[in-house]
Amino acid sequence: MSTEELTVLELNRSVKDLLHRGFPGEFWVRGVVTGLRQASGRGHTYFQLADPSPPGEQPPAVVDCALFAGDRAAISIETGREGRVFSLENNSEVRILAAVNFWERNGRFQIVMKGYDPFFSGDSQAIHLARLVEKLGREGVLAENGTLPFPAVPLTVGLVTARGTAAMRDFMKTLEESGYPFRVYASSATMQGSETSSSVCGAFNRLLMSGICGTLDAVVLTRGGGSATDLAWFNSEAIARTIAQLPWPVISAIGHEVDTTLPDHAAHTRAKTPTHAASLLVDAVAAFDDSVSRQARILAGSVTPRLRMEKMRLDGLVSQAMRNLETVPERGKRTLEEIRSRIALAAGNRFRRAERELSALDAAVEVRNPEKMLQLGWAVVRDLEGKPVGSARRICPGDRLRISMKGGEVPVRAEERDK
Amino acid sequence: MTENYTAMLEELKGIVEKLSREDCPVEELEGLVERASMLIKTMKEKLRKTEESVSGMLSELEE
Repeated sequence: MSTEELTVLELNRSVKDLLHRGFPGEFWVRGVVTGLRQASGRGHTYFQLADPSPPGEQPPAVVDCALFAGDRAAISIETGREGRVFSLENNSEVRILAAVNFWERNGRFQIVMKGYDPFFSGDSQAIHLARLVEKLGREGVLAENGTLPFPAVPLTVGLVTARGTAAMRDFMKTLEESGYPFRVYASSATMQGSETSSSVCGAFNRLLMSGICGTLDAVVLTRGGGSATDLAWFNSEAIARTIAQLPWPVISAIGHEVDTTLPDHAAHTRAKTPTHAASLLVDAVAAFDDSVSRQARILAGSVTPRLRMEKMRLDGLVSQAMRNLETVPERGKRTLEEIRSRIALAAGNRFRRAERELSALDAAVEVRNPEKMLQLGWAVVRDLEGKPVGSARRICPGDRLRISMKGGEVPVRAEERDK
Repeated sequence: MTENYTAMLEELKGIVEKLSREDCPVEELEGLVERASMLIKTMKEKLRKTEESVSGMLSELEE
């Protein structure tokens, strides 16, 4: 044992020197965040990183950590480039890039956070998810929603997400840019933290209880990227069981492509991102649109020539009818004129014949007219009553008679009668 | 021509036939001629009216 005597400061400097020689650069360390606190004023963050331990038990090892404001800004920018949001939360398991630090004045050891693995998913969350998937899969819960038929034209969509977020904007923008008449009914939910499960289930239930329940074609559950810890809130048995009981196919789009959560397993379809979820809907509608357009073209292709032929035939009939119509009045007029002429001729002939007939009869009567006979020198003997005496035998001597003759009547008396 | 005209014609023809016979009684001569004259006058008037009516109707058919 060395007998050299050191001051505390010398001791601390030696320890610091040894420490830095043992850990000359930065290194990755993983653990569970605890005791998170913000230093007032300067924007520094302090916490402990602990090895995982069963609930209620002391962790096997803990180390103090510091995240200085400057480093935090750099980490946030770097994480953002990966499409992730940087955040630290108590009880979340993280993998951080760190450097050792030893304070000479108080002999205090800590690590300083320099970087962050945005794609790290702690073993505890992965194991938790795997157990849920195994259990619910065995019960058939995860397959339930997938058995629902996906509508051919999913234009009426329910949306479960946090209102006003980038995820919602991305989703809506993709639908709007498609030009199809989507109708979206948003049911807002908390998409981060301990209330995530109950809030998401509540949002689904509000859609179920609403008047538009029967009109929905599909429902999208979505949120943007986040840390593994953020997304781990979705690994909820309650959410999975709610999805299994829904009457519409659910599209799950939580986090980024590399992220997997329990709703991804329980949903009908998994989408990589909110934008991808919207694209799936747009693609389905577009496929239907194309199909209809194709059918319409086929139909038009088969029907159009037939229609054209029928139109030509109809045009021909119309032309023929028009020509006939133009000649009908003329022909009718001619026919009627002929008939009229024939009537006039026949009537005229008939009248002439009747007149001739009547004239002949008139002449025949005129010949027998006593007046005419008187003019010719004949005379008519009448009795005093004016009746003609047709026979000499009817006259007796002494009868007074009247003789009608040309020029008038002469009264006479019969003297005797020849035998 | 109506049925009346035809009937009158038949009657007139009968009178003429009777007048034409040698044994036509002189006593009936005047009455027969008078009846025949009345028939002829009526029939001529009927013919005239009928012809006028037919001519009028045929004229209406001309445009």
